Amino acid sequence: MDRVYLKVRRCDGPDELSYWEEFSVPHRPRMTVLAALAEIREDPVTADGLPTAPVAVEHGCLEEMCGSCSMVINGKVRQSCSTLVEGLSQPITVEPMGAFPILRDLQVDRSAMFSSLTNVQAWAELDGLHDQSVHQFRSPVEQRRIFALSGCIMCGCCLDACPQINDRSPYDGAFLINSVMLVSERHPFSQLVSSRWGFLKGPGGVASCGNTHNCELACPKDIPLVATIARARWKVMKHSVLSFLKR
Amino acid sequence: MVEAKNKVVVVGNTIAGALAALCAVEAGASVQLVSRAPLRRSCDSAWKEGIAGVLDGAPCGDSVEQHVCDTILGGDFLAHQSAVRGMCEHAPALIRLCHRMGVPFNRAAEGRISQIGGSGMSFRRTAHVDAVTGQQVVNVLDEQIRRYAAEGKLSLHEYISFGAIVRDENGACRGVIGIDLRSLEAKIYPADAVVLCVGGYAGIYGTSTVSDDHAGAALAQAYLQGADVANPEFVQFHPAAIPGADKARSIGELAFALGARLGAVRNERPWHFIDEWHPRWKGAVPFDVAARDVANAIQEAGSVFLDFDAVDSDALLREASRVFDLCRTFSDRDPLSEHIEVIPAAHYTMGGLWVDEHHMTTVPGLFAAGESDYNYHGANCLGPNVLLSALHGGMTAGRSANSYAEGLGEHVGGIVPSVFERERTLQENELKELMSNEEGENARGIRRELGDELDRHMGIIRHDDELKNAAENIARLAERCSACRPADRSEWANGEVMALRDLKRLLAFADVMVRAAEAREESRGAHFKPSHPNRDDRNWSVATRVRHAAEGPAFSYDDAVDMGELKPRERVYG
Repeated sequence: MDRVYLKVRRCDGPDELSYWEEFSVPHRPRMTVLAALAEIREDPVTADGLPTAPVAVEHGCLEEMCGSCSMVINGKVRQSCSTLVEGLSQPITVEPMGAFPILRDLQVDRSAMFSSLTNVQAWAELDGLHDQSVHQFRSPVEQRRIFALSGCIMCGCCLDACPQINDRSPYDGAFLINSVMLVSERHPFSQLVSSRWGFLKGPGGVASCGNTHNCELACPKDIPLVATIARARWKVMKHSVLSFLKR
Repeated sequence: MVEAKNKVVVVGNTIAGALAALCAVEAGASVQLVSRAPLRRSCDSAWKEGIAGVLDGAPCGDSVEQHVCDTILGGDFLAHQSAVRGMCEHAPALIRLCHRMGVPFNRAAEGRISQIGGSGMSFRRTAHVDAVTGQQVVNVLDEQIRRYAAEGKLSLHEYISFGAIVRDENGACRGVIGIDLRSLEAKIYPADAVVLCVGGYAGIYGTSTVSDDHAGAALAQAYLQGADVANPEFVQFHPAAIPGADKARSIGELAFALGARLGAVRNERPWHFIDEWHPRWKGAVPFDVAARDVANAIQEAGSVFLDFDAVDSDALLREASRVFDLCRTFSDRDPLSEHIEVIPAAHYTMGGLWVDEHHMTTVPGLFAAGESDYNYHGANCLGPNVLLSALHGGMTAGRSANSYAEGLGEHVGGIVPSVFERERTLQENELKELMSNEEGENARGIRRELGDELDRHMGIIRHDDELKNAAENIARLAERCSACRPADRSEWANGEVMALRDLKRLLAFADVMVRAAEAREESRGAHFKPSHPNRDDRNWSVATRVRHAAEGPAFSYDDAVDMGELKPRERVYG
């Protein structure tokens, strides 16, 4: 492969119209889509040779751990830093994630994801940073179970892939259910505080999940989202039945 | 109006920065955390190595003393030893803190935290989560930052890049100017004390394990404004990274501890050169030693690989499955059945801003911690000590910043606004000027040439004549840079004008690096010169200190290494 052909859906700013531009960049060994987009900066012209601005992309660690570089590549939402151009049909179509407002080109605003973590108080209730000589044992099996839930990189792929994430649905997304379950299952004495309960059994929580499993298919970290959401549903159902019986 | 609380600004939402902010809040300060990216988007998320510490139940014979000695020897007797002692003593408490915050450390069958071996460590004392400990520490710190923000104890200012510090007429740091990465506005953040946790400068190299915007532009800015730099010539090259188009991806961490071996093909047979040259330490040699070995093996055999033939595949998947994922994704090979081609790449920088034992720089009121400081790792860092130094340094700096603010005669509320406005205008005007250049070279070409120059002439093996040439080439690049244009002149979310702004600073810092390397006439840790192949304890047991001056960087060598713990001895990893 001599050159890489990209077709990028661009946008100059929020509230601006999108437009397509095509690029042709020299191929380098083991080039990823993100690296190909970065290559445009060296000689920012379109495939027709017209001068243009380089494509704006959010990037961070370049190795699929920070969640920065999510985008839709040939119709599939994924991390661009770990998507090698070899094996992709050309021209490679690159678009911003549709679930978030566009800031510029492929940069989208995912701050709502972080705010929702605050809304459900997705944090450990630590009582200070001073040292406490705590010797907590945990079995390796339990560690692996918790570890499987803890790999979320806040990439937003689960939201972009989910048909329930749209303006007609109140669903907050698989990542948030996972975050709440992780925080409440991680510490042996942790309980679901009211804000987390409220979310899980409310309109943004399990009731709005349509069970399509797109989230788990799109998750770059192989988090068992379907099983976690199922466990959350069970918790909500058990809680509802028990409170009914207590009446 | 009397300001009730000390105002502390932390720049850089990184592991060190987050902990500095949390500690400053707990000590009573009102904290603003200013960062160009959210904590989870920082490259700390990609840090693989665990945290070293002598926990109760450590393997028989281990002790904090042993950890201190391993660290001092690992750093080739350049780290200040009392600082190393403080860090190693603090390690068990920091691991406990991470555990309490929710880090799911790997566990031994009995249920205790499982500790693995690490480079330069004579005992298995690295607590880890697979090979993703950085990400796990990032995630739990991020939770606490968000919690304190929700409780109104600190305020988060994200997508704001560091512009400059603000110094008052006495030279004290009174805050920072931040540049909004979207609107390109310069904003004022007044403070009684500032903590810079902005990472290191490994990304200045063309071949590195970090992205090219982790090159130390913020450190360079602080240097240009009067914060001395220390030991800039000490750069660690990772011996085993998967080559890539935009960066090299390290896979040696934990892999060596599990039995992975570096090898080359010699006479058509695999040659495990590290094992041959270091029969006792093998893959546990410190990375500077391994990187030199790799450079020599590449000279002889052309290329090297990492092989997992001697690794138990269950152990790999249990202790470091991330290594497996990286190989499959970025090298397209299965490490359990194929050799993985690797190259050395710039990875971590031991040098940084000079700081005293309270983490204060030479600018009063300006503190630095994490990879941005210089005091714990000497001439070479041991991987499992890196997160440790970020956590320990962050905690120390956050508390020191608050104490310093407490002791101030006049708090920042009393400083006239024109002091801030002057610096803010300077930053804004610079951006406007850079934006207005329509003609000239694309700055990206100069950036690439700078990276290549350092790769070629300030790599693992350094020659004085090449370092001299490098300084001249860098000066030429700086001249070209003064007449170049950004590749983008939009006034919204313009990464190119920010990159050009950074490039000016990187060129000044690269000059400091090569001159420091040329000036140090010995080999120590990661700094190796065939012209002076041995360590010179008599003349060079000092940190390099560099002060910015108009006529060029001014070097001084009066910061003698404190040798209270261990006297220098031969550094051999046989």
